[in-house]
Amino acid sequence: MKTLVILTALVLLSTQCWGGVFDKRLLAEAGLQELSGDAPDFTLRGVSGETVSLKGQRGRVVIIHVWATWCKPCKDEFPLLERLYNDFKEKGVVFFPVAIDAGADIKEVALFAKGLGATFEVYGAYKSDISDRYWSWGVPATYFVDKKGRIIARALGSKDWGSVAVRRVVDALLNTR
Amino acid sequence: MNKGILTVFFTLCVFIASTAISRACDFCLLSQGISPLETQSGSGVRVNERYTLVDKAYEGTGGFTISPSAKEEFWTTELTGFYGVTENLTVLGVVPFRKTTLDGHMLVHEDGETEAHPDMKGEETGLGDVAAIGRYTFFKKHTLDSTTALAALAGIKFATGKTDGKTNDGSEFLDAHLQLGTGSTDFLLGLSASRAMQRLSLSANMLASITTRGRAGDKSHRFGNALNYDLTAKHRVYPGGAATAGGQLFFALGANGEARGREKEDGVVLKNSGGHTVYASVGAQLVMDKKWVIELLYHKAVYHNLNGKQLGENYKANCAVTHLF
Repeated sequence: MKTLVILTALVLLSTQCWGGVFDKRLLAEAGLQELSGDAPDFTLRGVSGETVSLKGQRGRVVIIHVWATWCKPCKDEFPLLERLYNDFKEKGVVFFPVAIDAGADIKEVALFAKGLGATFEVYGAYKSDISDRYWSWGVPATYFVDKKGRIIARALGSKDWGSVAVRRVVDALLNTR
Repeated sequence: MNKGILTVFFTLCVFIASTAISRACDFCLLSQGISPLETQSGSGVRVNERYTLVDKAYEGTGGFTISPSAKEEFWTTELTGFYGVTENLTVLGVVPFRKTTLDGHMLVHEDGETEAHPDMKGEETGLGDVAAIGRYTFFKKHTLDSTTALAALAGIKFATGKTDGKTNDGSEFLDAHLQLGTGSTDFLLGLSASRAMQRLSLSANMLASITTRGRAGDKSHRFGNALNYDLTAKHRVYPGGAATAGGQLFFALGANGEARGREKEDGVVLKNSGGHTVYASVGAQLVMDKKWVIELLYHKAVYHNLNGKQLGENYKANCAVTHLF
């Protein structure tokens, strides 16, 4: 019996040290839809003209948020997204807010987002391959990618990004190897 | 909700032993909307208005007119409340209010002879058969551009509708299918599959109705067991790209049908009853602010293969408004 307890403790300890397995029950608690498989790669160009790709973010948790300037629910949830971004940006979470406005000048979109209080960099889906690979039934839509580049979950529609349940998901992704 | 049921007509004239049957009990779960059993979560209420016209008789697959002026009409206003107990379990309650009218009686005798009584009129209005249904989604899979769901459904239809309506002159009981209810407690079992792929969604549904013995007028009557099915494709025509909380417009095309067993009256099998009817459906669905859904749907009966000779449905038209909480 003593051996069993010691072994269990060792297993738990090793899990803590090396990072555990992501608990999918957290997704349901946060109201997120579970997805699986490798997240399709894409490239985006930001306001600065610099190109970023999903593939280049391996080892970090990525949150892809698809929105549009004409979408009222998207605008309404910006303050909470900003808070989520600020709380996790130093912890290794990469945030890709992608506007799908057709033909929009990304500089104007960035100004628009700044006007809503956003400090994160925004990207445009226009002329990017992201639209083809991340089909959305609507906006806003938010995708979670783990450190290994696997797509883990999706939120269709608005979410309470300040909720404890959502933060638990992000924390768990950060703590998962 | 349950779908279109074939109609049983029986002998209005008491003096004629067994006459022909057809049926129009229009408790039709599958004909209520564009994709009525489409896996749906959450809670809300739905009001559906359905009109069904029966003005023709069929022998096997061939149609013929008994009387050019005679017709039967069915107006059903259905109030459905649904409540998501959990993410995967939804309970539904269906309360129908029916108006059935007989405007000239088309009669098919047991031996296949037909006759018409254009002056015979009848009308019944009131509560139909209430149903309680549970739907459980047992499989759900999301990918980046698709969602697949499978659900099972079980329910009971109660005998709450009157079954003793008479013709306007009070001389005869109306046929069983013209009564407000079936007089029987029936059991419903169904399966539903849906797959959404970007702007296109497909749904396939099956619903079996297992009937018990009821009453119609002064006789015992049992409608045949039925299997209803429906296959619907729905395409979002607006907006073309990603949708937001604003309006969305869908166009739908579908095929649905009903296969029904023969009926029994006072324990005797009615040979001119039961059969298979297939409908082609076209419809539109407008979603407004994700809270209100308006649907228009038209089902045209395109194929009848009815047992013996009996009346068959011509078309059904639906209009529904749903409010999601």
